[in-house]
Amino acid sequence: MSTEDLLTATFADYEGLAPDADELLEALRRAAGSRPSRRRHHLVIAASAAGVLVLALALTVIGLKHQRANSPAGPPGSSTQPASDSVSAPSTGQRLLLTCRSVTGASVEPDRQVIQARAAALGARDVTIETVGDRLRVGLTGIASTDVAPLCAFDGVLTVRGVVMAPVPSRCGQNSAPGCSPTAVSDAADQDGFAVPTSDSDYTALTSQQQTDLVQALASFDCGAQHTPATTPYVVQCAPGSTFGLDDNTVAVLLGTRITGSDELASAATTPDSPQGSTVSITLNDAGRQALADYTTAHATSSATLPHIADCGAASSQRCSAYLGIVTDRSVLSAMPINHATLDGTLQVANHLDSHAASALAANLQSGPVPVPLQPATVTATR
Amino acid sequence: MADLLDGDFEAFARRELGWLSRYAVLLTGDPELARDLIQDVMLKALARWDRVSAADHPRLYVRTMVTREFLSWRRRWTVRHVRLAASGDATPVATVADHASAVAERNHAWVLLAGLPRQQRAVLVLRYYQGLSDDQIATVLGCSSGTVRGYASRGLATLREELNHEAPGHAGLGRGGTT
Repeated sequence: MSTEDLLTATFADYEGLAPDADELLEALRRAAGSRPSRRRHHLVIAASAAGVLVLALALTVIGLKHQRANSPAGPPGSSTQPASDSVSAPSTGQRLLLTCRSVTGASVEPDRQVIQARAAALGARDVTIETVGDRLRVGLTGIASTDVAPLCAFDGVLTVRGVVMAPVPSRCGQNSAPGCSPTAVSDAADQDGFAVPTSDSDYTALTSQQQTDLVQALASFDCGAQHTPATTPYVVQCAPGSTFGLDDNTVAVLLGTRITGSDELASAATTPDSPQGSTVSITLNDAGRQALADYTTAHATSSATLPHIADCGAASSQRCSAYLGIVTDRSVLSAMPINHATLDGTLQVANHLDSHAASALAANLQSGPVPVPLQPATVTATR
Repeated sequence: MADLLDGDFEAFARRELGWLSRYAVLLTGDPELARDLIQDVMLKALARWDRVSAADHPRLYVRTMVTREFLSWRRRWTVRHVRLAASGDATPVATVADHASAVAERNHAWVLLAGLPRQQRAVLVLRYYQGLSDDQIATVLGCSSGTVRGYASRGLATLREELNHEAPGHAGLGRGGTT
């Protein structure tokens, strides 16, 4: 796309930010009502101008005295900060204002503490949080503008589940694709009269026709639709193909019973950047450590080399349960092969992230899930 | 309170505020600034309604007022406004890679626009949103067509350079789905 076309698309996209015309008209009426008459207006201007002159003279005198009293250091005015700056950004950074909106329209007041903790975990300073109905506004300094929006872009939910079957290239990466459905998998199961498998054992027990239908249903799962958190013992997750080392833009994968997750999280932290990117490591509490140890002990592969996850199951002798699907919010962040039993309760939950994304992810996991799901609406920077 | 506004002016405002609001938000990059800008200009238009209403094209007259007011603002601070998800709808930040990349690219362009000098930004909005020729833009800004072309050229060059230099978006920030 040319820069000119991109501009046209961007303007078309962002004109929706415009204030409501009826509200503007009402505000205009109020302002016109409080506006002084034209004659009085002129008097006010004259008085203001006189006041400004007097103030300017006074400031000049004070400034000259100040310059004499101090050794020169930089251009005039550089050593003084107007009083108004006391509520603005410190000289080391700009003050950022983030507005988040409730995904469901519910009141966001319950999210206040989690967002406060997330901001603190990222090293933000002077954090203010205001909630108004379904909107939450965060003011802060000390972190980069690119790190601000992720504060409310994640639900902060972590789940670790076993992989049931090989990931399937999705034909429903776009919302608009016909025949795509967020209930494609359960619909197929209902139609064929089988229960959606929650383990690779369940999957291999299906007839070949049922397996074929399930693969087709996964390909038709609507990745673009809004979804509520799963209440079923299985979940269908979408992810970029690269998450599974595949070339496809989007793949859908069926994940089985939950093994562990946010409820058993003890800590989350980033590890230093490597040439492959940043990694987020999590440590589980005792319950999580035990659950992970049990699952990985039962499913650790004895093979020297695991086949590619796309070939697990029927395409190879390797069971798909030899992979863990690590999911944050509703996106698979990594599919980890179980090469050996994990007894220490630690997991690498994401690889190849840029440092900003890794820091945000660690902060969000560490602070726990937001009770009311949010999404970022706007970021404003002032300086 | 409707009687506080002149009847003709109120009808004019009611008719024009919609598109003026959209134009102002693209100029300023911020809904609150757009609100301030529109209010400042419309109060001035009310004060000189005789002159505005007598113009051949009052709406174009007001557009020029809005543009010039925007260019003349003396604020100590600059604002960068990034819409990461459309206000008032349920669009997720990013759903899947291809859609997310298009959204991220427009977000990125929006951020870069906010960093341009006001004249360059105004020219780009007038040219690629309002669809004005360089001569028409020159009339709005009160400068020569050559100056307009210079602003446009520098603005586009900055955007191209930055867009080619930086990759938009973050890996792993998307929302997927579940059943």
